[in-house]
Amino acid sequence: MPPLSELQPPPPGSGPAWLDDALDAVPEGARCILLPADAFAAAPHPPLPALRRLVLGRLPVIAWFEDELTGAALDLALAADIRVAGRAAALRGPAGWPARAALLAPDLAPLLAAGERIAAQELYQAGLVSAILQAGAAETEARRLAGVLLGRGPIALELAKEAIWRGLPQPLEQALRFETDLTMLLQTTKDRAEGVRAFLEKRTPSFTGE
Amino acid sequence: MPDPVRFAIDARGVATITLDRPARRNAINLQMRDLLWEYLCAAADIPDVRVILFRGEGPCFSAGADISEFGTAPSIIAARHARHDRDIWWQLLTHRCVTIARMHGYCYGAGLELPLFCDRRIAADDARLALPEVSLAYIPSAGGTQMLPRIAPPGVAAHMILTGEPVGAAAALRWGIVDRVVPQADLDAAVEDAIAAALADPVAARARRLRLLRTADTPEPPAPLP
Repeated sequence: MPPLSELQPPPPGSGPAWLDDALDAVPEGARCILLPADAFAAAPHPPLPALRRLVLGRLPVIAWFEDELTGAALDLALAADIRVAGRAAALRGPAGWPARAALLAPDLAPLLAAGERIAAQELYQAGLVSAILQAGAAETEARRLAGVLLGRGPIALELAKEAIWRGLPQPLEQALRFETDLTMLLQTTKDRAEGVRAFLEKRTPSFTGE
Repeated sequence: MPDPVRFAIDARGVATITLDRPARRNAINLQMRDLLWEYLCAAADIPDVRVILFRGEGPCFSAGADISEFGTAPSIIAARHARHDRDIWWQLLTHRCVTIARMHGYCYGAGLELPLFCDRRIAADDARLALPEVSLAYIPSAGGTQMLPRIAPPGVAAHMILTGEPVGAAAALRWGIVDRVVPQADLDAAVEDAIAAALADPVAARARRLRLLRTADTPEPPAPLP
């Protein structure tokens, strides 16, 4: 099974359920989803529950883009965990999931809601994209990051993602206890023991997802 | 053998807590965690203390937790009890004093998480910040997954937590992870500025932490949930 799953745009004429279908088709052994957001310019708007599956699912999602994203492509990029962009890229609102935009970049969300265009440099300053590359280099960086994630423990990635997006809405004390319990759960995994062993033996760990 | 955490109080009411294990890049072990707990309690109990400064001896603030001690608790439940019984992170969040972190060199793992709980983070331009726990098939366990997304843009936090890759001081400043970056030679002067500001207006210095807790600035720390 390929560990990296690349989300493909739906064929013309697809209905709004295309994202659910695409996520259902992600192979069992996948460890990371790559999202070439530019390719989704003509995709139908996915419904909110499908976008939430990207945010709250088990696999980390990396979106990359070089062009101006609007519509479904914008919503998909906002649902990713990590966004990287080329220098000529931009986002233009409104987003189909305003609350997600407000969570990720509260200062930019009103601009998106007003339909304004926000250029890559401003997105980077605001942390709405976390890497900005020379034009044409975003895909390379996204694939490099995917390679980094594939070298990490898959259960740790799953729980880290869960800790971030399910922890954020919680009151802080509750969220901190949530994190503690996730770390305790991780202590039961073979991968965590392998990670510690490999560190102490100064070698690259070999994670199995157990 | 000297204690790996030192504690001193000056005439202004500034308590300095120094991670002093430079041969191990100030990796925080269980003894150090216990000392941090005791010194934070002491600072809370001594009325003259108004500001707490955290610093690291040697070339870095702290490279993180001491991994050689991972998995040494007798059971997972015992580990969970230990975590909650001496919860220095909640103690930091609710401490009556203004807290300041002086950051330089490696600020990795717990060496970043501890400053994330502070009111002010002053960094040298050589500071490197990371939460690399996923590289050990682990996640940040000293509050990093909850504090970083509340301090930095959540997408940046997700990038750092999921990849484990470091960011430099300039990026940390851009995204609000640190409050000020200065050349290494100017770090002590910048920290002194932060201390003076904290002594002059402790309410302002604590305001951001209390916003995270969604509570007002009162002499009493918010009560933990029952």
